[in-house]
Amino acid sequence: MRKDKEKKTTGRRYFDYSLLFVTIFIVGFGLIMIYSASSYTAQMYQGRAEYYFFKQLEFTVLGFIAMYVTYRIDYHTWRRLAPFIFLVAILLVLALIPFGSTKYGAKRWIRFAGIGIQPADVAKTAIIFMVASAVCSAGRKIRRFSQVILICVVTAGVMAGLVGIVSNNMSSALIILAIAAIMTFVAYPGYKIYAAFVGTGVGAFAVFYSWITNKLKSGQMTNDFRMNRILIWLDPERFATGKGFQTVQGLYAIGSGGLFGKGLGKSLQKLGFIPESQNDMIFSIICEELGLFGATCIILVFAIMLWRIAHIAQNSPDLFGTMLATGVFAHIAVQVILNIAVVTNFIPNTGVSLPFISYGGSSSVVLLAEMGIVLNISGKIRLER
Amino acid sequence: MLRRVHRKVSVAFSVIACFLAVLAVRIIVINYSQGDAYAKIVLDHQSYTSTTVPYQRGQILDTKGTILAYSEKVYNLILDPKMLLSDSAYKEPTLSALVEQFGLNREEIEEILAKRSSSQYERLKNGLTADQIAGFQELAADTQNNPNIKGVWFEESYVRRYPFSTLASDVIGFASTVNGGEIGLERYYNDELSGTDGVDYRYVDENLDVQDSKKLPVDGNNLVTTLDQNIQSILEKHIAAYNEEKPSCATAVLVMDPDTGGVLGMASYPFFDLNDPRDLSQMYSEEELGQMSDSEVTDALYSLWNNYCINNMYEPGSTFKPFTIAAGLEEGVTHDGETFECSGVMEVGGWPIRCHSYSQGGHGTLTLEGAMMQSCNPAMMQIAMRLGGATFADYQALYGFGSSTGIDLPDEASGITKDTDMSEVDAATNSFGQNINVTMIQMAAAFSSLINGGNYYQPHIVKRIEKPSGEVVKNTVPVLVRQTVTASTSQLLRQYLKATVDEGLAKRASVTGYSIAGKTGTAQKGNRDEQKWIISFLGFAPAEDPQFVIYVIIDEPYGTTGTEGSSADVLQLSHDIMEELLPYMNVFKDVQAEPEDTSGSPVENMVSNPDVG
Repeated sequence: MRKDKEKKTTGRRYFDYSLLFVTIFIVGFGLIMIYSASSYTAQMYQGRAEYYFFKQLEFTVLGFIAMYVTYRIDYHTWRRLAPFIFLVAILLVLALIPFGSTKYGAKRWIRFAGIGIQPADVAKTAIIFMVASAVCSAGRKIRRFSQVILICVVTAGVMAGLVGIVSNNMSSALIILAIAAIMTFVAYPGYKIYAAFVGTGVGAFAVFYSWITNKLKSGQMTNDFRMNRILIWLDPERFATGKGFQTVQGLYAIGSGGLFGKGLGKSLQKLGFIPESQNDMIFSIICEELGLFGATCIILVFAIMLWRIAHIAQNSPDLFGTMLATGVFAHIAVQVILNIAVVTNFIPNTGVSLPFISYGGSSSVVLLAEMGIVLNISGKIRLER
Repeated sequence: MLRRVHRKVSVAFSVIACFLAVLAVRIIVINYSQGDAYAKIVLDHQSYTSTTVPYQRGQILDTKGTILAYSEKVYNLILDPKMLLSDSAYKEPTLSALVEQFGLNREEIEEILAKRSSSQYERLKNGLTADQIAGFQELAADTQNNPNIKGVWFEESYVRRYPFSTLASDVIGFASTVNGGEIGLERYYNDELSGTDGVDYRYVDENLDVQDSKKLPVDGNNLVTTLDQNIQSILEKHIAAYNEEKPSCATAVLVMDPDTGGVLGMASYPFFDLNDPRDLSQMYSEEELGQMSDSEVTDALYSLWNNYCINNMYEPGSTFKPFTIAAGLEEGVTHDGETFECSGVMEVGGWPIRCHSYSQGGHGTLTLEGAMMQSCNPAMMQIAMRLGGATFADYQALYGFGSSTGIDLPDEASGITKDTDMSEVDAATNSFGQNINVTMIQMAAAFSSLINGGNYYQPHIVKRIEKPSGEVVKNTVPVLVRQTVTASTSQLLRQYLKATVDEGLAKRASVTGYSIAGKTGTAQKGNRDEQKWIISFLGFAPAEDPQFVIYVIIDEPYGTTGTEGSSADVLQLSHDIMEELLPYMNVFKDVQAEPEDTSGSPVENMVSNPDVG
């Protein structure tokens, strides 16, 4: 706190109001969309149309409290706490083994005092702290790519492996790896290796895609579980009545929206066709109700939010602030992109929620807490006059 | 270093922004390439349920408004196993209620639940009345004590009921749920009796409210007939009593209002129960039924459902004689008071044709009136000869023989007559009602015109069609089709026919105190060698102002094979019917007379003539 006072004398304090407003807007919009998407099924199965809305409202209030708390904590504190939080996250993931409750064949939840916690969400935040802390500790050694590999493996690799194996949650593992990758990309001075990585990845994907479509055409498909998922991805309408149901119904929702959509609350697909439409598939309901215009606006709002976070990262007074903000940036960006890519069937179906909008307690609280940290970083920016 | 890091943040943001742009483009592409198709699929999802609300079939009433046929609302008990099994708490209380209220077998329901667990429509019981389901509905409505009675509902339906079961069975006919009217009025007026089903749509509207939209059914129209339930009962009572004693192949009675052509009563034995029309047990033993093939059962049913008054044609015999005399009088080939000679047999075209009096050596000298009274064949043959085949055929056509009357009942037979090619022998045998095939309704309608002054009315059964509200859709006014004879001829015939009952061969039909007129007939059926007979009486009362025409036929009366037998049975049956019918119809006693024993009076005997047709 003493440091704050010092800064006041050197320049005016900065606060990123646009980021705060964008956050409030998108959380409010998410609440409206959750009510719209869930009211029908909530009425049917919970007996109250506002069931999910009010639960999400509780999470949101909790989230804003968390955001205020993290905003008030000097972000440098997180550097000291990083290893501890990382350890807690690992323990939480491991706690899934004895205490986790199973849903859709995956252990993802720990019920604690009536609240369900997804350890994967905590793990994502923990990895942001840990990588940021590790990059700062590495100092100049970060110029060696081996150091980057080391950081990634020791932090993200371990965490992603645990999340992937213990809770069979591949999407969260992927997000953890992607956060670490983006953060180290920013920290590492070179481009070539990353470009080579991306190039290899794109090439491998192209080869795989042509191979699988050829195989599909010649009809030699095995009844492998993972293969099925890929088959559904390639030709969802063929599996429309079975495992491709959710994907296809989501596409129907997007396609039927038109330019301006059917109007808020007027989705037909949420009437039981898209299961749990307030969760991962909520973006398809947005497309159906608000149309291309609404969907593009939401993408734009996310872009503004990411731009503001990137701006804070670039203006942070020290490397740790930059790395923290970049981590939050990566977390939100990766989830938004993966979620919309799944909904539009760009990639095979996997459970990724849309930040701030999808229904979910721990995700909302964790994301808002991360926003608090970013806002705290923004408060440390010195304005030069 | 920090500056480089800041630059890389920009790079990362740019890459992410590119990804977001690609995704936005992807959404646009989906909308433009598949938008219309997907929008249509989504609209198809608009789920709704539609339930048919059945219409109520129209009633059939007699002339006084007595209900002969109506449709009663009933309920089918429907089980929804899917719903019932959706919560384990539902099963026990629901099954208990079903077993308790409807006496259903618990094991059977368990079996249905086990085998058809995903079904939503299992009919457990049909045709329950509102009273029968009230108990269950009360239990289910009491959600405080019985919150878990689920998955059972009642489907509305109608069942056709015939309160008098066998009354006028083959006239009213019956209706099945599948085909609607099967026979009789039910079939002929099926379009009027049928309504239009309503529909109950339930759908989710754009505000996500469940909307219930009902299109009400249009109920069928009611038929008011000319039939009189009391007259019909009288007819059937006596027919049944007669057949109880002396079973006949068929016994049919037709009572008609000669001034309108309206049918007051129409009965043809054997009767059947309209509420159970496919029951053959009264005609066949269980053993016989077991041995019958499907087509034999069908044939047996159709012969049971046959309406003798409409569907059968036969040679009428002497009841045709009034038509011959009327034609002779109209053409002036004979006149009142002319005398005829009868030697018991007359040779026409090389055939010796006998009179009923053949065994007694003939009637001797007879007036025209006497020829009617004594039912003399040679006198009729002489009149027919004088008319000639062509003219006689014209008169037969004028009376409506050889063509259907157009009565409002299905499958009317049209009979068989000789046309302009009528030979001398044809004319001779036709004159006393052989070698010509007619139906009862043709005879009754034509006879009505002979005695009512010559007005031929189209026979009919339905006099009014009404909407369920009582609004008249159609009124059947008596249709005067044509003039058959002049009033003076009609006057003479009434006189002759009255004399036939008063003093002639139909005396046994007379009822003390009433002036009754009529003619008997003993006709040989089809193949002459089989020696099978149809005996009949065609009469009316009162003689001067006829209020009804009655036509009684006994086909193959008991014990009349061979040349033994007479018209005695049919006269007795006619007498019995009229004795009850006359007071009911408020016919005043117009004859001062003491009761007379007519049992010894002469009757028309059977005479076998060669088949010259």
